[in-house]
Amino acid sequence: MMLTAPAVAAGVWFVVKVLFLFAIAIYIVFAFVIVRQVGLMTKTLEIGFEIPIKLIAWGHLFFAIGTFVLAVIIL
Amino acid sequence: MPDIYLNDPNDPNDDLVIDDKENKDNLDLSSPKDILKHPKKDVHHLTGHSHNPLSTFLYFPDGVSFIAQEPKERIVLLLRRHPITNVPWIFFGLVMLFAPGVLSFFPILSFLPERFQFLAVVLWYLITTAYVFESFLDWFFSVYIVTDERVFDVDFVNLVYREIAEANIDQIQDVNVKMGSVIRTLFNYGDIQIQTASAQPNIEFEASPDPDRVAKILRELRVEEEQEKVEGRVR
Repeated sequence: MMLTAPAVAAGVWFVVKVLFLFAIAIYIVFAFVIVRQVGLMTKTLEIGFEIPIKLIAWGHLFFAIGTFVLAVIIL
Repeated sequence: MPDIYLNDPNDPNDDLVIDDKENKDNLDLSSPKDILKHPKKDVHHLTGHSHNPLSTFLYFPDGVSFIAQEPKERIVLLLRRHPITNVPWIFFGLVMLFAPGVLSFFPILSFLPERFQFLAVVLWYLITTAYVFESFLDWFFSVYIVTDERVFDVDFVNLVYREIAEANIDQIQDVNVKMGSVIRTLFNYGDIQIQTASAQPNIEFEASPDPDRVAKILRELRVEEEQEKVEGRVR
């Protein structure tokens, strides 16, 4: 059976999409580790700046999850 | 009823009641040993005392605590690396921030469909955010703490690994200050090497602001600790 050029292209872009999603999924794990790291750091040293730092860490995690959802939708 | 009332010099509640003119003149009100002797003393006017959590030199800070702190232990100094040491990562962060805009003139991603290009840029900004945030966390939480009893070097080596080196003040054997470059002299920061007789033979405060003052404070705390030993006031 001969594959047509559009079918090959679709297959290639599907593989690229999976790679993108895999990369973002790995990134989400990394963002979650940052949240845990911030928790560890703020337990080690309390200096009155914990809330903004935790908000940034959680915001970064939600940004990563949002990117994954966006990738699923648009790719 | 006694005719003469004598103050107890070791009474911490007896705050700065000094009748003797000569003693009053000799009292250095910014010296850590005098502040520690008078716990009620107002420290807010002291040079280096700040409520800014991003400050790099906090002298007798309010509302600061750390994991290894003993209940009666008082933080004398909290130090971070001088702000100028943040310039490289801030510069690199700005380069990363503007890179997609600059690279739009050189269409290296043009072989990708537009939706993939868009997502690649979003991913780039995620990585930029993580880089900047991690660099900030490394600077913010890698601190040097001097208390009335101990010195600490708190390092966050990587994402989940934390290292805390500590030594008792009375175990400090030598304190060396290293400055020696134009930028360090200009911005008044340098490395402080503390040689100790503890299990941690060397503790280094890297790029500490105002290193001469830090060394002086450490010296005064050592003297005070020796004095406490002689007088039997060791906690």
